[in-house]
Amino acid sequence: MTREEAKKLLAIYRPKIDADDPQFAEALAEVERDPELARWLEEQCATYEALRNRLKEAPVPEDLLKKTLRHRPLIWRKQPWLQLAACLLVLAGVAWFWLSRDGESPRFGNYQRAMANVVSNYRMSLETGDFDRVRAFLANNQAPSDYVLPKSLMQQQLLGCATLSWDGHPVSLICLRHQTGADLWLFVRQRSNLRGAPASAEPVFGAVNQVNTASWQQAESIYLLATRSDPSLLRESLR
Amino acid sequence: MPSPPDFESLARRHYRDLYYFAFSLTGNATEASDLVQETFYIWASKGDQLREVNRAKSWLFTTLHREFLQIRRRDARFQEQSLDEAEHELPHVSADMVARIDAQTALGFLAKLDERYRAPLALYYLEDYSYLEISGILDVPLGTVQSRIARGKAHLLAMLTSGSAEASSPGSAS
Repeated sequence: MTREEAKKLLAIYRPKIDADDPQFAEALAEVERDPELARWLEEQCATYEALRNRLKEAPVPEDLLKKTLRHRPLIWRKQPWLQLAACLLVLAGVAWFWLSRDGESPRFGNYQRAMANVVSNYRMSLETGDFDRVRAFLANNQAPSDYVLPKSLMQQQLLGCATLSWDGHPVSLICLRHQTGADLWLFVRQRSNLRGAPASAEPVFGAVNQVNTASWQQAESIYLLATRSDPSLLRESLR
Repeated sequence: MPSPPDFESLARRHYRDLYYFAFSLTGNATEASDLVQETFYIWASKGDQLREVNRAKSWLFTTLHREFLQIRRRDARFQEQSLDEAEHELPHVSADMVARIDAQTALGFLAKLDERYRAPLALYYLEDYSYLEISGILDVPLGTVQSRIARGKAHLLAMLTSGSAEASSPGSAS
């Protein structure tokens, strides 16, 4: 093996990590015999180490770990007591669902109440200010992602999103902050068989459990915009 | 069979490494943070399906890389570029020269490389994986991984020499 051939092979050689990799054995044997090649390799290795260490000194966003831990989903499958609690919750939910419905299909009012409760206790799955990222994340998690946001909502600050499920249907939750500082929550789900849901793009305003809401239908999706703040924010956000 | 590591200890142990990898792919701190969060979110949903618990870290790198590629596929701005010829002669960069470069700038140089060089080169510099393991994580043949590392390294060192992230990156149209 010539010096140039050895150099070509050793161009990607990393000290320690590649020491036992047989593809470098012959070239390393050449290094033993050739002092000039040995100097060259020593310099390459020093540069590799210096650059490796430099790269690992780059700053990491301070809140990244906190955000990551805050957004973990509940892994109930791994905890027997959580499995039992989840089963009981599902049974209670099913019983409540059947007792509260007076027909075949779930009511929009029940959905509205459930979502109003969500705003007091939810966890974002992804915190980002990028609308495209939110749509992609929801699509990847089988939640409604073909929604159309009113222009004025697009101008508010995006905080992130979460995926929910209600009555067996996935629901997308998009969290925004109005320029006044008030939080806005937009829930999107398929219309499916939701009785009493708005039937047009004209928003219907209401309030439930101290949460003001505006709801409308567009294409096959039902939109529910909620805030704990002044109801006029909803009208303004939907202009 | 040992149980998978719990979410918090896994996140604490690997979030920095994953962030560096994500930053070297995206070149953007916000996108890199999003990718890291998404990767751990996927772990929380599917990580228990992993049979070899000691491969959790590789699994995270593979998942992050797949997520990145998925996002890039949706990105209309991404265009395929052809690879240029390998450069066997490494530019001369001394360890002292590297020591004078700011860490964030160095990571920025890595992120400026042509997209197909970034991932193998990031794993080459930041992790202890063998070439075979890098090939497995990125789902790219071993020979391709090695030639991309060699080419990418030559261009990265050239950038460091010129001291500018604007130095021509491999495969770029210019």
